[in-house]
Amino acid sequence: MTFMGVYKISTTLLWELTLVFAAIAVLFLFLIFMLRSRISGRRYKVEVQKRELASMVSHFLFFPQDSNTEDQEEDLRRRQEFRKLLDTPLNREVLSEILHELSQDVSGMARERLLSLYQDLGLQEEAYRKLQSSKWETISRGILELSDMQVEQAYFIIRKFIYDNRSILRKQAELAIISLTDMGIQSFLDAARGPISEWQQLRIMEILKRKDSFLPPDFKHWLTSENEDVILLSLRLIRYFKQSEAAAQITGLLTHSSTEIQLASLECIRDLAYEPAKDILKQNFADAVPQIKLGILDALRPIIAYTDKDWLQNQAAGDEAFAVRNKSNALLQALEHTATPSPVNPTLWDQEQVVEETRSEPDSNGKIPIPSDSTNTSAQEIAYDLMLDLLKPDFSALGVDWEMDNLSVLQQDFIAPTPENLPEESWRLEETLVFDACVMEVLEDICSDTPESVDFHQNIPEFLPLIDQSLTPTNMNPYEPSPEWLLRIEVQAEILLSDSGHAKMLREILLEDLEETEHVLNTNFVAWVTEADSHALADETNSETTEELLRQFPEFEVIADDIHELQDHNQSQYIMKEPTLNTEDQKELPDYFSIFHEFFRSYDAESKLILMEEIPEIGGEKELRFLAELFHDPNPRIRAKARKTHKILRKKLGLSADDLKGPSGSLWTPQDPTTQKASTEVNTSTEPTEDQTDEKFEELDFELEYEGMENSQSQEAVTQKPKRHNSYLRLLKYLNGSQNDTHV
Amino acid sequence: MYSDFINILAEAVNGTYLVLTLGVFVLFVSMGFLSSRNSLYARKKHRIGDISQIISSSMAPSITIIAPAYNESLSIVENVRSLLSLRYVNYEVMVINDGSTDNTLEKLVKAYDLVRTDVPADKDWSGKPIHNIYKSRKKSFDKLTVIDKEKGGKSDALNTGIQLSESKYIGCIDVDCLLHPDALLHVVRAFFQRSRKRVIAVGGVIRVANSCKIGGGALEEIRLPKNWLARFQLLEYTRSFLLGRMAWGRIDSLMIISGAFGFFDREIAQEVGGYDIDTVGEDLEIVFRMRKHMHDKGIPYTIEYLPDPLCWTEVPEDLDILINQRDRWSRGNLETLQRHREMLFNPRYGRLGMLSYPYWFFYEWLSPLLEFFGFLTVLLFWYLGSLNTQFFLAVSVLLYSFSVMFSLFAILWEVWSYNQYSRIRDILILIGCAFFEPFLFHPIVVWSSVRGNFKKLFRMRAGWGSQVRKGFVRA
Repeated sequence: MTFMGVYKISTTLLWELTLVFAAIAVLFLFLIFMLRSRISGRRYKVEVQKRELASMVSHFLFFPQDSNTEDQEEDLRRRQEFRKLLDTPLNREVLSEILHELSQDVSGMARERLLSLYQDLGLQEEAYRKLQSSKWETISRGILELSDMQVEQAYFIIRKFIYDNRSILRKQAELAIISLTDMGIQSFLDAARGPISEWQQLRIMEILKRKDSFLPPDFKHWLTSENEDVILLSLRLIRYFKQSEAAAQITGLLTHSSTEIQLASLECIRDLAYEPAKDILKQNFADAVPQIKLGILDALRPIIAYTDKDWLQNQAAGDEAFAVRNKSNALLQALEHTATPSPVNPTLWDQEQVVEETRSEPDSNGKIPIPSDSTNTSAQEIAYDLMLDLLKPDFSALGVDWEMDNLSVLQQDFIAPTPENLPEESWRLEETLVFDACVMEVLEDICSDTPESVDFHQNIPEFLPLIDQSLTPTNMNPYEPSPEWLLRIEVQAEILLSDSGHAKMLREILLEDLEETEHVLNTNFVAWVTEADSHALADETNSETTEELLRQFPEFEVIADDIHELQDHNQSQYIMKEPTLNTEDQKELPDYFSIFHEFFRSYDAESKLILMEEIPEIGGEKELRFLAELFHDPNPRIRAKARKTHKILRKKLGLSADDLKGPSGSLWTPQDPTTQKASTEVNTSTEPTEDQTDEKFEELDFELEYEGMENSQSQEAVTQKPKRHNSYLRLLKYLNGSQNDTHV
Repeated sequence: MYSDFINILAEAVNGTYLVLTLGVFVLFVSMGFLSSRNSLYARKKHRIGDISQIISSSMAPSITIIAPAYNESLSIVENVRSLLSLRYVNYEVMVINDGSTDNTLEKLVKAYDLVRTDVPADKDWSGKPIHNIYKSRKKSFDKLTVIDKEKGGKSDALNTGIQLSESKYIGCIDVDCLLHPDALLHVVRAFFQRSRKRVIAVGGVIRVANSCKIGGGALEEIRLPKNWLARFQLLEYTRSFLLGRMAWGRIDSLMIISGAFGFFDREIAQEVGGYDIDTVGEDLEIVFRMRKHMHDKGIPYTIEYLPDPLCWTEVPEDLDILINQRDRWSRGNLETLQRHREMLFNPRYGRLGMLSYPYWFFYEWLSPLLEFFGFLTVLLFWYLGSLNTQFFLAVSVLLYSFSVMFSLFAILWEVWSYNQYSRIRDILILIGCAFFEPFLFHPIVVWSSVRGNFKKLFRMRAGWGSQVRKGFVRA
């Protein structure tokens, strides 16, 4: 018997196990090289693609095209190149990644263009597909991409993930909701029942910081929440948005059971420099733990005064903790270095006084002297802060009680305060002066760009309007009194003036904007009335006054998205009236012209097919006519594509086939003889009829809409855009002078 | 009679080694599985979200990086510059000159234009006396604080930093380490990401920087070490950090945070009294103590482990220095295990008592000793002519193939996770190391461990030893 092997482990078994391990080792060896080669290969490919795509993207973002034909042509050519490149999944992924990364780094117009480009290229469809995955990491990436790229239509789909079992998805969805909606933060704070990690809080704050035109609610309402993390987040938000009106409530949190909340409150008091809290802080100091004591000393720093010297000396000498003694000493030294018995730093609460002291009186010319560099810069900063403070939105004007029923409020659309509900202007003298100083600064800039003959400083009776009539010719008599009913309308809606310059400018801007973005309602200059307004308008105006109105302002019939609603109120006659531009404008605009005409003259068939994919994105009714011409192209592929595109565009514009059929029953009823001829040929040719092609077109429509949008809200979200687009294009059509389109 | 005794002894020895071998097999397979899962999860999770948001955030917490320095004049200026170049706003670098006998302090004063400050001394100061505290006159170095103190060892230096710091988190690192510019962003995310547990510490992967090219305090080119000893250590570090600690991190039972890169919640670190100055395994001991403290207080907590390659350090290329280092590590293990022996199989400490502590006891401490004595036993049996050569050969080849397989698995994860060695030659060398390590490198580690235990058990005087820094290759 030998000593080893007493447990009768078969040697053969050991060798067999060895073979198994060796085989696995060989497999690992193979995997090492395969994986390495795959990773390196992919990394190389991605780098190459990134270089190529990044330069194209930067062109779109940082070299905006003018609206002239050459630039539009260049722009379309680039889009065409993009589309070609996006045929491969890798390119789509890389481009999404580039745009996503860039979206974190750019701002302003470049960011808007980037977001628009992302959606123009249909990259959001990839992100939508990610949401259908069963893997959490894929869904999470999809949610992140959609929210970072501000795809607002994704809101309803992402909202579902708030109730997902996987916490990581819930958190991601919460962030997306906050990012995509202005009222998201309120609903989040109201609904948050569980703990909120600091990482989540940090990301929420970053989202809110990045949101343009975000109006922060009064976060003090959540300081009484039962959820400690909600209180913490609210304190952090108050601190960031400098909501000094919350200071009194914050002082109440100094005795909260949570040390973390106490510390956060102290940080708030420090940053808001809330002087009335000084006595409370000193009272709390004695019984506090060293950590809180240090926080209290920090909070006291901006508000402590020379009169508190004795108290500080006591702490510096007698406290048990060295760190506290040390900090008290440091504060004491800082206090002693100040020449006057005033706080170490001026507080927000002293700002008004500082502004008062540093304010200059207007000189003999009515100008307020701009402070020179030698003046107290801190006072300037304080004045600036004060001004920001004054300009902070006041939600109380909405009459919304956030504490009562925030969730129900959030379900409603944001309603701007009506002038009747606005509080009376009761500016104090200093507020008015600060505001005037700002106005003067702006005026200085304006003056530097205007002809010398115009002197705004001579007489500025009121702030608005700052319009030099000689520079803005109009065919309206500015002194002609408007009828009373018109004045009432002016309150509700903006009236487009009939002068040719305005119409032309508007048309150019719209064309440019239409190419760049589909967010039609972002164009604030588009005249806009609510549905209620349009009904009211219809009720208030009788037919006589309507006709009178139209005679004076023919553009009025396109002032609203929902103006077609008037048709339901027996106003069809009113709506269907031919719009009339003045003759000068008509001369300037061609009767019928699509920019695609020019491209199609020189492009090959393949390019035409690709180019046609762009038409639904940026085309209008002119393009419908243009596409109708292509129904007779010699190339059958172009004919088929033209039909498909025609159908898509028609749907997008909200026009039915009947709308386009004129008396002859053709697809288009153009007055242009060539188009009319073409449309006649359509009916007599062997090509499929409109009804027959419908089924094919449905397939294409299906591709355009996200499959996952099952609930009605999602569908609503999808259809919103074409609806907006529709009204937008109607306005555009009008401005283009397409008087021959009898059906709107 | 004699024969019976030998038989019983042989049975006992065989039984012990059989259980140990099976235990090691099970342990390693489990670790491979857990670490793979954790790596996959971490990779997926870290792809979501942008950590650079932290930089501009008003919520970015304050961090003090404490870097003890003792006779580091060769590389101190460059290393501090690297620490001052991190992508983070709210942080401070506190270099503790622990009584250096060379010109470390002078170099710092000159390079960073340092001046003494008038910080008053604490009469209750428990550590070695502080001579001076220096701050830079230049605004660009205002994040730097240098503390010159009497020599007290690494633990005392770290404790000085902990006591003087006012930050929320403290980072304890080796001053010769190169940190990734985004290291603090990763650390902050790790501290911030839990909502139901308090993160008391964050540790990370340590990568081998020997032969790498640096410029301006940052890594410019990652190269495989030229020295074979360093190459073996690279393989060992890969296995340990990518598989071992990753696996323990997965089950929230990580018991060690490397002294080269460890971040702590200052409040908890102070509550437990900072580092133990009476042990040479201070990085292991403080984690044991912090975990125990949190368990005793009944506060939900965790320790996070970052799989990202954030810290690069120089490993010994000299055999004596390597042996001294491993000797110290084994002594540190023994001291810590001794100090917290009540945790062994104590269900009150949950997984710590039932899994982590036994692992450290049986595998990290006992296993090298058993290996050493097993080797002696084989020699003895061979000498007595009682060795079943066939069986011995089969077992040895089996263990060897398993060891190579596991090392290759580590290299596979290295490629999948980082793929930082761009040349195919580097990968081939690493694979070669996997084949030769059991014969060439592993015996050194075992011997060092035996030596360390011997010193500790027989109370022989031993300290930290020293490592002569070569300094990184300049770009």
